[in-house]
Amino acid sequence: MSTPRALIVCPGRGSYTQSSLGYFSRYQGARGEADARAVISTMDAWRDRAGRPRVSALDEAKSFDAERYLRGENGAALTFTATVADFMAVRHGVRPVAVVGNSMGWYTALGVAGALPLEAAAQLADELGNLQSLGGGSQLIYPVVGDDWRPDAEKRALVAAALREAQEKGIHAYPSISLGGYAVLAGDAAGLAFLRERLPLLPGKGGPSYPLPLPQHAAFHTALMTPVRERARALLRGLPWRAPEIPLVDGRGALFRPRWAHPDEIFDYTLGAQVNEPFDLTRAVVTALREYAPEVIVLLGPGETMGGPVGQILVAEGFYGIHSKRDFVERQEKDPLLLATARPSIFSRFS
Amino acid sequence: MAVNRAKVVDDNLIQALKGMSPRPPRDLDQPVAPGSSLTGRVGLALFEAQATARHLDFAAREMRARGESFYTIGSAGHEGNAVVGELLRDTDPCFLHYRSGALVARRGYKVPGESPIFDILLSLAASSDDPISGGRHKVFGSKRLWIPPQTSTIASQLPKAVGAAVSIARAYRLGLPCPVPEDAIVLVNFGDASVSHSTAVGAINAALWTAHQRIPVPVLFLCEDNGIGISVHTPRGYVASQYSQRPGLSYFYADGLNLPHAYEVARQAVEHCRARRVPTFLHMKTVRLLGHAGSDVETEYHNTSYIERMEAHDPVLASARILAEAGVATPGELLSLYEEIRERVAAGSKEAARRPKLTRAEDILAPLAPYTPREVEAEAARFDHQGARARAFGEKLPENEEKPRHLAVLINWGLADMLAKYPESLLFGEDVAEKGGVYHVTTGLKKKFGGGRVFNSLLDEQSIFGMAIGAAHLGFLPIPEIQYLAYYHNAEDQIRGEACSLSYFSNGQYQNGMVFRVASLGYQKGFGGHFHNDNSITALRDVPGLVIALPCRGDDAVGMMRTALALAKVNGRVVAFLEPIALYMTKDLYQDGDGAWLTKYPAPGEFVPLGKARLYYEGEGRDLCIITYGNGTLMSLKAARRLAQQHGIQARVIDLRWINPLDREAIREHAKATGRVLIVDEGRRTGGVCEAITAAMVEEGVAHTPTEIVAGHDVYIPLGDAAYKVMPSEDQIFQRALGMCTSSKAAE
Repeated sequence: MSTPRALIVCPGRGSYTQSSLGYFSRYQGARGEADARAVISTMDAWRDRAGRPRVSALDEAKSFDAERYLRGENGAALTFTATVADFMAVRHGVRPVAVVGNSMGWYTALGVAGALPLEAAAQLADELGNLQSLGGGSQLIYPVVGDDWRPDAEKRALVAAALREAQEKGIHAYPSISLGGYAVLAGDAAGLAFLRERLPLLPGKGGPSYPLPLPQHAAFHTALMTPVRERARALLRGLPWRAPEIPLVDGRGALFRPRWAHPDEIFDYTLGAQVNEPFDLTRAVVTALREYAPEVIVLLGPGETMGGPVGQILVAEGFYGIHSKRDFVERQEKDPLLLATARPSIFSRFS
Repeated sequence: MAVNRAKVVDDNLIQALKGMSPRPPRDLDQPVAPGSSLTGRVGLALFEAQATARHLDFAAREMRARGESFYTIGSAGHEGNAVVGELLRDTDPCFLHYRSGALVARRGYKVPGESPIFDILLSLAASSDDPISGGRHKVFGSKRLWIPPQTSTIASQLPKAVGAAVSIARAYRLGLPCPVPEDAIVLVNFGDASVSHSTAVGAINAALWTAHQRIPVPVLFLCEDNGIGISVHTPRGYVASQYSQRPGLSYFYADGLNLPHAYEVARQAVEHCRARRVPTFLHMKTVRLLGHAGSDVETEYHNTSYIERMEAHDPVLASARILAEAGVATPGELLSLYEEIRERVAAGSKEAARRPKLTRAEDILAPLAPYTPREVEAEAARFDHQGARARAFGEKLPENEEKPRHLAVLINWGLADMLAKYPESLLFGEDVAEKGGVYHVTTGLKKKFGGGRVFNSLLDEQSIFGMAIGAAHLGFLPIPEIQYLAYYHNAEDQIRGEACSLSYFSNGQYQNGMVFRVASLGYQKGFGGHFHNDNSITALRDVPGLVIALPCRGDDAVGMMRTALALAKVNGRVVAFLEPIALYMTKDLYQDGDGAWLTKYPAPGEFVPLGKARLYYEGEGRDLCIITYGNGTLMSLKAARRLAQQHGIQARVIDLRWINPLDREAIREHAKATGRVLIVDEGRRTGGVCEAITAAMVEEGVAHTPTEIVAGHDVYIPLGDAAYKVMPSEDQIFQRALGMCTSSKAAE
């Protein structure tokens, strides 16, 4: 079989969690090890210069201090490093045809696709992580699909009605990310309280209950982030923005092509709509699927939480003949479509 | 074995790029050629769109060979039109012909979230997932990109494009909501063969006729001249000879085989059209590659050297050469891009082929003629325009008129009422404004509602319908008038092929609801004649989705008009409103001076439900049921009265009022109740209403009912009294009814 054409998915900041500690040792013996380790070294050097703890030191620590690790400046750097290193480790086994990234993962995607040099992309992720306090607020997540992953119009309508009511009443509650079968919503404390009151509690069946708050996440991709946007634009305009080497699909579904994508447009989106308007990962993935029809989807990063949303997008689209969670699971068992680097077995696939 | 020309064209490009040497790189934001504002960056984006269209053409043939697609007519050779996709805004409505792949790709890529490759592949595969037609046709279209789908009828998209263009300024002038910005322009493209079609000639003329009056007509006619229509060559230089010097038409010539030139000229044309708001003709040189369609064997009419000569002009290859020579990209980079697109299209075609197809008639039919009775009836009954009515009628509201009036007066009041109710409604046609129509049915409406809403058209029915369709696309509720039924027939494709197919081919996403009025049918005293008294309804009956209203008395006309407008407004339906000329002024029914055919104006809120007939009884109407409509209703009522008076026969008369849909329930119930049916159809017999009624009787299970038909002959209506010899008469009805009742009574 020829090298499969792959859609690359870069996860958001929540990818690096307690169970990820020691993730970087994963690269031992893998085919792309040298490249992956080079990424970690580059990041460590950059962290040294910035006066922050090395990512390798954080990764090698014995215990996971949630407050410290999930904080913007560390959480973003860990996820970023792991994701880019993953990409370096697997890129020889697949042929990347397009790259998408979720939320902060967009900054990683810029690095992975080559629209920014690695250090500049890291700086971008880092600065945005630091600036989030300017915006404040927080996020919660709520499912809009049924147990079979098929779209649930009723839940979707509930979310829409709650957001509409908030808007009418001037409450700061907003759509933040369209994440496959989940709506990520955001707002200030009052806004989130309002959403929790309006959205019926969905008890978790062996998993979390919803609405589920996302700790240490600010109200990304909402109007609350407007001060962040202005600050970040002033701060980061000078980064060496350039056309990517691999096509990029942004959180509106816009394509940036190698060679002719205009650096100004990438900058404008990244530190414009991307910061304070809803991020539509669903649309990004759908557009990438439709335009590039990849043979596999590679989910980078130490976590697997993006697997569900990507599967749900496939179900909603009916792509690859997948129309339910069951179809997806069967396909994964028979001929895996979604390859998550968090699963060690993936490395054997690419070596 | 026949040479695979697609492979030849493909190889030519690959070999040419392989044979080229890289040039020193150029700043992508600099123009690629002297005299053109096309930058390298935009040039690459255009090349991508061109190569996308080309690979989609190849894929169509490959899918066809695998039995996965049905339609191979392509864009090869016309890829220069990508520049127009680049230069227009996504709010400039586009009415596109079938060689628009590159234009659509470029337009799509400018809008985040669009996926032109896959959308076109789904359309090729006739998948129900196709986002525009839902698997009903291979068309270019997109709701989000303002590309209403067009059928393959040559040049039929031009009249509506003109109509849409004229409607932009009209909407803003009237202060109505308009879905596109005030400075939007309308694009319509077509080939050099189509430009000779009377529809194109008429539409261009309509644009000029309108613009001549200093009315803004921001339409960009893009004539893609490949020099041939299937196998017939357009005389060399013909298009330019006809349009380059045409007064009132701004003409631009672009070489669609030369990207920088095409871009620069198209930019000027688009800017000119947008700024000046005038009809603009962009004549773009193209070639036709790969034959007319996959099924066209070009070697039957062209020798190989001709075909190769055309292939040497391949615009995609030309673009690659220009970009490589300018140092915008290396030949290797362009080849990689070309191959990457091939791969994407091939991968997408596999996915598209496994997508679902339309498999059930009800799904196929669903968007054709939507009907939600509850909403339509609520809308017909809606009465909240007291203020506008008061302004239109003054203190004398029509429902307060004591005196009953004839049909023409009530239609006139009804139209005023509708124009008051719907500020977005427009009334237009030949002579409808100052003159008030040839039968004065629209008298005074222009004065009441102004020339922006009630206006005369040029003498061209295709343009009248085009105006209606285009205006409806932009949110208007058009009420066009066709002066006579015979005139409908010379423009009917605009209804049959265009208006009634729009909802269907756009899967309900685009609609062009309208009510077109036509003075119709025979029996006009002291007149007659084919052109003015045509009685052919058949051509309307088989237009899918077309509602046909045919009132014969004033109160019904008003109630039906309310329903018709509601259907157009709520369900986007197209309604033919046929008005019997002979009854416009009819006052009496049984005898002179009885005034029995005068009616009072129905109170606001009253309406006639769609497909509901009206019943008349002589006594209990137990002996016979006469099913009829229009003039037949009056003749039947008179005959029924004589039957009762002279023979004690009690007939009931059904006035169908709606020819489509028919009141099948009434037909069934009254056939059953009387046991005898006489159908009186003043239209031509073959394929006529009488056949629809008999078919309904069969399907409704009353076929055994003794039934006779009195119908018009299959002939053109002659002049004067001769007309009465070929259409049903009161006496014929009387005699036939009498015969039926007496013979079957004797048999009993």
